Amino acid sequence: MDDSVRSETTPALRADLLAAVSEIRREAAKAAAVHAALDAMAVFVALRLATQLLSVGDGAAPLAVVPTPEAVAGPLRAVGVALPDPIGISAGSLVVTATAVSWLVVDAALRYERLGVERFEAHNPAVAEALRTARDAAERDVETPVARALYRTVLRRLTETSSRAFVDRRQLVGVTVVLVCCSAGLVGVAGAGVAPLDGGGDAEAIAGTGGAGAGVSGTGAGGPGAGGAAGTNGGADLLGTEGAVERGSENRSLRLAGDGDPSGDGTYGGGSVAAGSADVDPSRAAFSDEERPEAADLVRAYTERIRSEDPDE
Amino acid sequence: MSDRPDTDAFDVETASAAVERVESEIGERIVGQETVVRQLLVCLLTGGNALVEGIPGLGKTLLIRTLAEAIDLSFARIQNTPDLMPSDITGTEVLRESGDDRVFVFEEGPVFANVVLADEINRATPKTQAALLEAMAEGQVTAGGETRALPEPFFVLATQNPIDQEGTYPLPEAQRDRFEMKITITPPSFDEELAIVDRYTGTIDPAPPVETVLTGDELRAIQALVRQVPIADDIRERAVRLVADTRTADRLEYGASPRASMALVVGAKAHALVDGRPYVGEADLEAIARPALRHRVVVDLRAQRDGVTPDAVIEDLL
Repeated sequence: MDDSVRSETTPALRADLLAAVSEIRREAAKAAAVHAALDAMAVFVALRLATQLLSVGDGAAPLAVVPTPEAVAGPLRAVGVALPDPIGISAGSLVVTATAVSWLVVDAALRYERLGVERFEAHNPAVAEALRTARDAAERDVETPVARALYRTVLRRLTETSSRAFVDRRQLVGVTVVLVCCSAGLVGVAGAGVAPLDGGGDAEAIAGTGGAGAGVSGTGAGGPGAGGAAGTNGGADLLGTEGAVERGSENRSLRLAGDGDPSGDGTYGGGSVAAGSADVDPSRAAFSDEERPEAADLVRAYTERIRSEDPDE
Repeated sequence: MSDRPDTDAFDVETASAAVERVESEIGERIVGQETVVRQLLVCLLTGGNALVEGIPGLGKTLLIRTLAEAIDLSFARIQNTPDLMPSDITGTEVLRESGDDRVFVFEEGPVFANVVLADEINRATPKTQAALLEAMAEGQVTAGGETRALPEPFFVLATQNPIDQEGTYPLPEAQRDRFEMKITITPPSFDEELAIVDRYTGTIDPAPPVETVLTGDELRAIQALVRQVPIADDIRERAVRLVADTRTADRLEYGASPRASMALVVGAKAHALVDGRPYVGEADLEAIARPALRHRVVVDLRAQRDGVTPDAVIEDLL
């Protein structure tokens, strides 16, 4: 049937109006889904970051170990991200994921309820009361001449309205910023050498420890970015599970030989460090007796000769 | 009684335009009082009756007479006094000679008119008031054992003088509830009063002429159209909630009845139609709330002593 003819009959106008209201509800559902998905992602990343920083669940055995799906691992491998295989699912990860999914569902439902036709009406005051009345009348199958005039009026005014009210741009931008910041923080915590808040545990700032009781403290250096961030569970994945180290009980004597003895003959034998049965051979620069800088007379003689020399010689 | 009115004769735009023409004609005689005129027309379109309160000399009679002329309706005026009998209003059977016979013939009273102005209704005795109000409510009169229908449309405008209460019989609450609206006429502004003086002192003619712009049948068609105006669920609920709130309000001794809810909703519909809208808005409800409720609630003595008026309480409830 031709549209112009169809629009003359009250039942058709009523059907058109109900279709328009359904379209508004669909737009509201889409907007609610977008908002809720973004919020849920932000919640997921923020919780993940919090558990990493607070070292929640460290050392706990995974609840399950599942093989990494090739459909996921393949594309990531193509861009240089290697996922561990198999993947261990910890209780913490499960709680975080469940929280995010619950958030998604509840947030979407609440937003859909709040973003209904009423929100559309509130942001389009020119059509608000008319649309509300027409919607109620159409749902009650009212087909009087006045109702027909109302349906026609509302359908005409709806062409000048917008569903932008369903999208809260400031909120979207805010949540996106939070999401990006938390994601960056998570990457940093997972593999970029950021220390945890409690200063220990799942550390990415790798601190070597010397053997206690040996009389010498050596320090190691953890290289930043020493592990791939993808698929890692913090420094523990890179360095192995941290455990308690027993205090040493063996005492060893240490003797240093080399320069520094003012009563010596000035001969440097290359030096050595002996610690019990384990010898340490340091390597350092040495000089001959004739070239000792302490021979001031010799130095002065050389200097005077250099200064007096003709540059042309 | 005539058949159902033809609602197809009007749509929202033409009905609104017709009412505007009536307003314009009334404006030829009545200076200012736009709100009163609008409320009066709204009440007329609902098919209800109005109680008008205002001091003498504000043009109440002229207003209702002009309304009747603009709509081509028959007009009658009843000046209520304590010795007025019910039969003086409804009519009575009189003995008439018809040739050689004498027969009782029913002589219709002034209530058999389309528009009836019952001046100072609180000066009539309760018995006479009841007769008028019964005719008003039922649209018919029973006299001499026979029930006679009143003409349609039928509109009673009863006036009350608020300042001179001696020797009056104030309408009981149950009787006031039968009026769709109570319209309060306030004195004109200084400029309006100057215009009134200029208009009515420059010529010997009693009043400027008024053109008939609507017929009784057309009025009935518009009245039928009013009932078709859709109202949103939440606005309807607000109207009912407002009336229900008058029953529990602190400063009110008595609240309004469900009849008030009906008056509020149909009044809002008529107000919307007069404004040319095919739907009821919140503003329609708020515009009608005071005239539809003020005579249906009773402010308690403590609040009265503090100068609280029904309008103030309704305003707070809104």
